[in-house]
Amino acid sequence: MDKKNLILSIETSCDETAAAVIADGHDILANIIFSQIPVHQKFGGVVPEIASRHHLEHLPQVVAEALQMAEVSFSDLDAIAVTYGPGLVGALLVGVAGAKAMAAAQGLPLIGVNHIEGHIYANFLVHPQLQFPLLCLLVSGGHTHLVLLQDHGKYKILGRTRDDAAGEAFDKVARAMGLGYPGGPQIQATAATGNPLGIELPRAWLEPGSLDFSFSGMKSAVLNYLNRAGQKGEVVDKADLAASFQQAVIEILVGKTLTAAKATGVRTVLLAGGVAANQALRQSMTDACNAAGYNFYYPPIELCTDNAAMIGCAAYYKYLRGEFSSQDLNAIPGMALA
Amino acid sequence: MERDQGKLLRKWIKLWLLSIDTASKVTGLALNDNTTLVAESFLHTGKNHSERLMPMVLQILANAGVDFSDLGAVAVTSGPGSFTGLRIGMATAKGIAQVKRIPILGINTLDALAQGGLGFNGVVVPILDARKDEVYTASYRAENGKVVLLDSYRAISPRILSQELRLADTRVLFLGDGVATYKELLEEILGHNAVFLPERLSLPRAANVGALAAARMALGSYDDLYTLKPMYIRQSEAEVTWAKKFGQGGC
Ligand SMILES: [Zn+2]
Repeated sequence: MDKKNLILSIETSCDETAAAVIADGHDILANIIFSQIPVHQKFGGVVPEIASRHHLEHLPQVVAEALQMAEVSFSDLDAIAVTYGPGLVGALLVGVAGAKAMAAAQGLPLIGVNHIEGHIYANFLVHPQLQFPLLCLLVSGGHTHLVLLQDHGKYKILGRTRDDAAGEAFDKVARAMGLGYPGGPQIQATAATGNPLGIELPRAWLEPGSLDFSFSGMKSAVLNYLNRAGQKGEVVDKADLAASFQQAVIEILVGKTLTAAKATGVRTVLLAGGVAANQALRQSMTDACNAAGYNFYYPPIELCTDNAAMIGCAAYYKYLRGEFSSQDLNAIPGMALA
Repeated sequence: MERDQGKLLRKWIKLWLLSIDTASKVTGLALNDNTTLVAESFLHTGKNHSERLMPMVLQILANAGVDFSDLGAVAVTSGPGSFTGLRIGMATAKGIAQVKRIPILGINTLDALAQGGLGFNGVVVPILDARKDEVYTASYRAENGKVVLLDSYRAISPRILSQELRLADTRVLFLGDGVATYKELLEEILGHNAVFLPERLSLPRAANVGALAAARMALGSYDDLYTLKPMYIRQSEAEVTWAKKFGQGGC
C-alpha cells in the first residue's frame, strides 16, 4: 500500500482564516477555521484591512492546530496549497506569502487554488466518485455561477449574475431589514416562520433561454416595500418578507439550474458555495431534481461556507495533474474560474 | 586545542540569520553569519513584493550556499510601514520560522532605518512615506557610533514635525523614502539644519535589520511566532469611521 498523499491547505480569501490537512483528496484529517465574523459584525460587513490583520495574527496558530489534529508534521506533507484568488487582495496576500514560505522552507510543491474551484470541489470531498459531466450551481456572497464541469479542471461557465451575487443580495436585504450580518443565516432564520407567498416580489428571468442571473431588481423591490411601509407607518411582517424574498431567489436559482441541466444533457447536479448552506434552497433543489430525474449532491453545511478542506481537495487533483505554482505566485483578487 | 574545537563547532553550528524588509517600496534581504553580513539584496523597482520576495530569498540563499535548514533565526521589519508590505514580509518570515522551528525577531522599521545615521553626530529622523500627507517617524540621537531612540513612533504631518524640530535648533539628519517627497518642505522650515544623504545611503537596507537582530540574538531576545504582529500605528479606515460615529475605539 502506497503512502497516503497529504496536502496542507490554507484559505484566507475573505473573513475566515483556515487550514486543513487532506489525505488522498477526500479524507479530511483536520479542518480548522478561525472565523472573524464577530470581529466584522459591528461594521455590518467584512472590513478588508481588519480581515488582513487578523489573518496574519491567526495563520500560524491555525496551521499548527491543523497539523496537530491531523497528527502530521511538515515533513510528512506532499504539497502545500493556498487560495490565491478571487477574494480580498490584502487577505489573499497573507495566505499566499505564508504558504509560499512554508513550501519553500520544507522543499514542497506549492499549489495555487482558485477559491471558486475550491467551493465546487467541496462536493468531491464527500463524493469522490462523482462522474463527469456535472452541472454545478455555485452561489456565495461574491459569486453566482452555473458551471459545466467536463472533467477535473475543465470548466465552462454557462451563466453568471449580471449584478449582485445571490449571497450579496441576501446580505443587502438583511441589512435593510435590520437583521444584521451575515445576511444568509439571518434571512433563513427569520423566514422560518414566514409565508413564502405572503408578499409578492418580482422574479427576474431575463431573456428567454438565458442562464444568467439578476438579483438587483428583487433586492430593490424589497427595499421599496420597506420604504413604502415606513412612509405609511405600517408594520412590516419581517418573517413574511424574508420568506418571500428567499422564495423568489430560490425559484430563480432552481429554475435556471434545471434549464441548464436540460440544455446540456447533464444527469448530475451539484450545489456549492456559502448560500448552498440554505436549507430551503437544498430542499427545493432536491425536490426539483427528484422530479426531473437528476442525481443531486451537495456538501454538508460546514463545507459549503469558506474552509480550507475544499482548497486541499481541489489541490489534490491539481497535484495528480502535476499543476504546480512557482514561488512568484501572486494574489489575483478578480480571478475568474474559466 | 580548545580553540580548534570551537572553530569546528562554529563550522557545524552556523547561526545563519535571514532578515526580511518589505515595509516600504524597497524589497530588502540580508543574510548574516552571526554578526557578519554575508549577503544582501536590495530591490527598489517600485513593483510589488509579493511576486519578488520568495524568488529573492531562494536566490540569496543559493548564492551564499545556505539551505533553509542552516538558518538559525529569521528577522523581519515589524513596522511601521505599508500595511500590505508589512504583512507580506511577516507572513513570509513566520512561514519560514514555523516550518524550520527557528526563532523569529521583529525589528522596528524606523530603528533599522535610523542605523543609516551611525556616522552622524546629532539628531537622526527617519521618515517613511505614510501617504495622506503624513510620515511615520521617530527621533534618535546619533553619537559615538550609537543610535538611541529619543521619543516614540508616530504618524505625523511633515510640516508639524519640522516645526517641532525647528524649536530644538539643531542639525537633523533625515533618512528614508519620505525625503524624496518632503525635502523641499523640510529645507524651507529648517534651513541649513536639515541634512540629507544621497538616496542610495538614505533608503532602508536589510543589512541594518540584520545588525539589530543579531544584537538582540546575542542577548537571547526573541519574539513569539504566534503573538508577533506588525506595529501599524494607524487604525484601519473603517475603525476610524466607526469610532467617529460611535465615539469608541476599534476592536
Ligand atoms: Zn467563498
